[in-house]
Amino acid sequence: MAEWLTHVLIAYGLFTVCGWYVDWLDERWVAVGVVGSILPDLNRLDLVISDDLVTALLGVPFSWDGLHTIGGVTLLSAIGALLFATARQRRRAFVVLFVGGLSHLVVDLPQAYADGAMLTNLYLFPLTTWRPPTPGWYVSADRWVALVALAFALAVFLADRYRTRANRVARPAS
Amino acid sequence: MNDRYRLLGLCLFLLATVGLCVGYASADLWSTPSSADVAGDPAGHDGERAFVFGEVESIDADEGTVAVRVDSATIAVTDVDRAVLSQLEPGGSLQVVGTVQDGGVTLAATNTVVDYRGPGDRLFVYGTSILGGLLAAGAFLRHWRINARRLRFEPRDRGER
Repeated sequence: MAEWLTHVLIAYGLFTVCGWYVDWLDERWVAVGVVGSILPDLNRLDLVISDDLVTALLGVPFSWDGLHTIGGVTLLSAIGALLFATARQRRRAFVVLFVGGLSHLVVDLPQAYADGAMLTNLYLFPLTTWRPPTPGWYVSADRWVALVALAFALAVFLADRYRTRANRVARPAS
Repeated sequence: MNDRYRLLGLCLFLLATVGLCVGYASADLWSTPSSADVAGDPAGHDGERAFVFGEVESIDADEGTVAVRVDSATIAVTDVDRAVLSQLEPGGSLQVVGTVQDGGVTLAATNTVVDYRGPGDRLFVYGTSILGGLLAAGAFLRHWRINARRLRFEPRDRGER
């Protein structure tokens, strides 16, 4: 999986561009979407409370990796959405958290795997174990991935500032 | 929706999330033996083609083998490409597709992918991840505040959007 900086920068760029066309998707919802982009990696809770410990406590097999799936993203987005106060905020929070989480899984898909196939068998749980070939574009330690994400986010940031300024000129405050 | 129903919903979704993680751990998602299969029953997969992820413990460049920790087992990966061997250090991370041999003690590699060459790569991934996490948390807290008493987020500026 790519490191979080890449996920966060790509999500920032993605949601900011979407915000140009969706009226309510302003900075505050972009920030929520950016948090959504790291939801699947909450499977790293394994480093704090190991799968083995939870398995021993529950008495049944348990794996935090279940969070790094389409099912995990859906449930975590619902949990996140319920932490907002109003119905409208909850609907919006669910959408941006879910899309952010989905962007994480999509970014992780084309990585290099020794058997030449994507890990869709894991990410699409519980839907399917289907595994198409992976283009094998990168591994998580490749520095260029973070640099490309940084360039993308920077380009979107500058374009967004330009748009904001152009809008101010077109519609001066009365 | 008042706070009581919201809390009830939170509990239900948390339970469902635990259920998902239990279902995930119990499901067989691989068509070939995976890391957990090989580590759990190495001899039982002798002669089979396996796909494992492991942490590099040591490298023997002369023999062309790498000792890899796969879950709770240590497996000697043989037939590793010289170019791959030359970039690996202990503490690295390696994916291997190969044939399980010698009662599960060795894995004859047909293909490998280096995830982390060594501790430096691991440090890069963890460091950038912490930076990414701080950026996300900073962006969020710039616009939202946490109301711990009512267990909810509230916008910092007035007005609902």
